[in-house]
Amino acid sequence: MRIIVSLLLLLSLFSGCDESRETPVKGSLTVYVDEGLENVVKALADSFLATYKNAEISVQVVKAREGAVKIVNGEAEMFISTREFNDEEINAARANKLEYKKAKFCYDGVYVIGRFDAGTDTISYSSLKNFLGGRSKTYRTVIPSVNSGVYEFLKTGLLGGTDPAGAEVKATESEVLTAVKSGKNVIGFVSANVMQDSSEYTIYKIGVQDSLRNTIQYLEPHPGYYVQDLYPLTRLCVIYLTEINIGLASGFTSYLTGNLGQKFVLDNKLGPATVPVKVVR
Amino acid sequence: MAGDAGGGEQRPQRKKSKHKPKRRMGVRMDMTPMVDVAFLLLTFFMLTTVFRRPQTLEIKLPPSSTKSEISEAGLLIFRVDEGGELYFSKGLGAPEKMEFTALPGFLKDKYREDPNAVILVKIDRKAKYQIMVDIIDELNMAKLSKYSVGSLAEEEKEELKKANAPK
Repeated sequence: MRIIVSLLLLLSLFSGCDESRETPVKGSLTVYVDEGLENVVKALADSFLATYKNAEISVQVVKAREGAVKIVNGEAEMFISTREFNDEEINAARANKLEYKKAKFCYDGVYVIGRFDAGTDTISYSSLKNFLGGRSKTYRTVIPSVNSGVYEFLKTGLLGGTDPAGAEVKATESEVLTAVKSGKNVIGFVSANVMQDSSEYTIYKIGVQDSLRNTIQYLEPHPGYYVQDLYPLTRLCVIYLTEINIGLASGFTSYLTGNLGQKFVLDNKLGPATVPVKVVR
Repeated sequence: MAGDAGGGEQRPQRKKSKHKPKRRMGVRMDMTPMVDVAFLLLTFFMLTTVFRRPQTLEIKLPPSSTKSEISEAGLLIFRVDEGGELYFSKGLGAPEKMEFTALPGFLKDKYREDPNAVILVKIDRKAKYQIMVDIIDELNMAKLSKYSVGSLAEEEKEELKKANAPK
């Protein structure tokens, strides 16, 4: 009896000495992030690494579709997307028998931008559909790649499933910014977090019909309008996890969705989605 | 052996064993101290636990740039004084006293004249809250949705006192 108890004690002592075990604040992780959230996630990763020295996080920027494919095929542990999975991606995950977890991250807005000398800073919601459908003779419309979150959002949210046939497609959102800056009468659609320096652009306020007062209310993209779902081009950004145990991916997700992470989100002009907010006029 | 008178059949003698049979005693544990400690711990944590309040993030909205100007001449103004008396005026006209019972019919007529009529309701801060609720209910029932509620200014109180004075 004494020998058995001694053996058990020794076993428990040595089993606690596993240095390589991953914990929520220790280990190595590759985070795939949509290009529309690159800046905020990189800032959060730097902040996390400054606090937890034993963690190694590498941020890889991908398109929304590419990240979804990586998750669905089990090639990625964590992906931060500007859109939720569509039916095709959900079915593919089911076919691969892949279980993933989803967590809300933040609210984001799609900016409608023009050059700084655009002349006007208001545009109606119905006009956007005309621009994307190629029914405008005055303006040229530029949007990011087919695999980007912005393209998917405009296709499903604004055009009801039809492709924006009248728009010129650029490879990245940075190229959209360049095209808008260099051309006159060019309207571009980019993610809020991509727009770091807005001094060279006109950010349009989008007009929404206020049925109660029978007027049109023009709203600029602002976190306060995102969280209240008033800005018409608001979208929810989510985090997808395929981690089985509670490791670094879960720890980083908790950091992103906690108070400090959401404060970073607000500082980057995005809307917090996981903490209480108080909107003040 | 002692007691053996001899001549009788002797019992076979057992070998005395070296180990004495253990006398098992009943074990009774008094659980009272354990219960006491449990309740003490419970009481301690009940009194000292402070739940962390979720930190609210404050978001300041940008200043509103959309302003709609309304002509004062067409504005319908309802005023309620401290005593709960209702007064009506149109535009810059003088307020006239009005009964609450006449309000529903009056509002329905106004809706027929102009469904988009703009109404301003000014209520004295000391008036009863129920009066404001009743007026808003009547406006909603009359389908007049363009209304705004505010508090009565001091000058207007004076004006209402003059309107209330016996002629």
